Amino acid sequence: MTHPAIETQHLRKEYGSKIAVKDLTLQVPQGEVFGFLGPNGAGKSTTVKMLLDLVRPTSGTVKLFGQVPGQAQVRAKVGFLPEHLRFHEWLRAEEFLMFHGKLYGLSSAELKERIPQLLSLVGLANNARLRLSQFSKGMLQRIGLAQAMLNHPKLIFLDEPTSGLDPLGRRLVRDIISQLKSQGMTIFLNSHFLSEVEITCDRVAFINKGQIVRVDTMANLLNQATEVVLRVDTLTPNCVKACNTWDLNCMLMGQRCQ
Amino acid sequence: MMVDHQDIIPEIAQLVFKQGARLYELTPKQKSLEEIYVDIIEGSSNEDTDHH
Repeated sequence: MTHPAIETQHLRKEYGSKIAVKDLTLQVPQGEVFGFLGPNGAGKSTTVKMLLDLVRPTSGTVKLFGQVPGQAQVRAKVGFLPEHLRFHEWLRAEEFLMFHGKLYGLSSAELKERIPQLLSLVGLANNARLRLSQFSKGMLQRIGLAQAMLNHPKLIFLDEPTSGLDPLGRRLVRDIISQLKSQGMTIFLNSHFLSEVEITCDRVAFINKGQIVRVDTMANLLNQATEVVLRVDTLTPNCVKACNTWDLNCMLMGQRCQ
Repeated sequence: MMVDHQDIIPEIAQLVFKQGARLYELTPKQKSLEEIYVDIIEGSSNEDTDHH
């Protein structure tokens, strides 16, 4: 049986009297690019922290690949790019990745092979020896993404991965996400760049005030409620009447029907 | 006008034709995810206010 990559049941987190996440039940199958959308303060970051076992839920359960998220064998399958990654700016790019690779438990031999691949993937192959203190914000974001992919994760959490990137950098991240998806990776994407979410995600959840208010496929969301502008030479009352059978808000604007 | 599904669009064109009108424009404008996001989030906030 294939377990979902992410499964939560009635997840709740309270900080004192403040309820950050109210009652969150969610399932993300393996191989899906899942968008997690909502306004600031909606409970997105708290949810991600609970999914990663960085914050313990007040009640409810989380499972990643059918197992509780704190276990070492589960952590080994997960990559994470936080929104505000604290970089060791005195390290060179390759040293930074070597350090994080060691934290993942990867061997030096593996990392010597893996690091150049990742630097190349994120467009930083020529900056391997550069100290992170000399990196631009966009370059830091890309090295952060490389860090999240070091351990060949099966599930990767990307929190605002295109924040601070110029349009070319954003396209590069989008291409990387497509590539990861084609390799079967599950991607949990938290982003305010909705045009990119629209292109990238298979399914999205909208969260507001600690609760999921809607989960749907991108295809369903975009395929409904289409506005139609109709311009004809003569719009007869019969024609308007017929249009109104589809839509009660058909409005005549001169010879245009909107 | 807002239609629930794009399958209705060819029917609109047929209707105009049957009514004997000349069609100059029939433009479906799909909502962007940003517009959908605003609708859903504002809608859920309003529901919350209504309940109180």
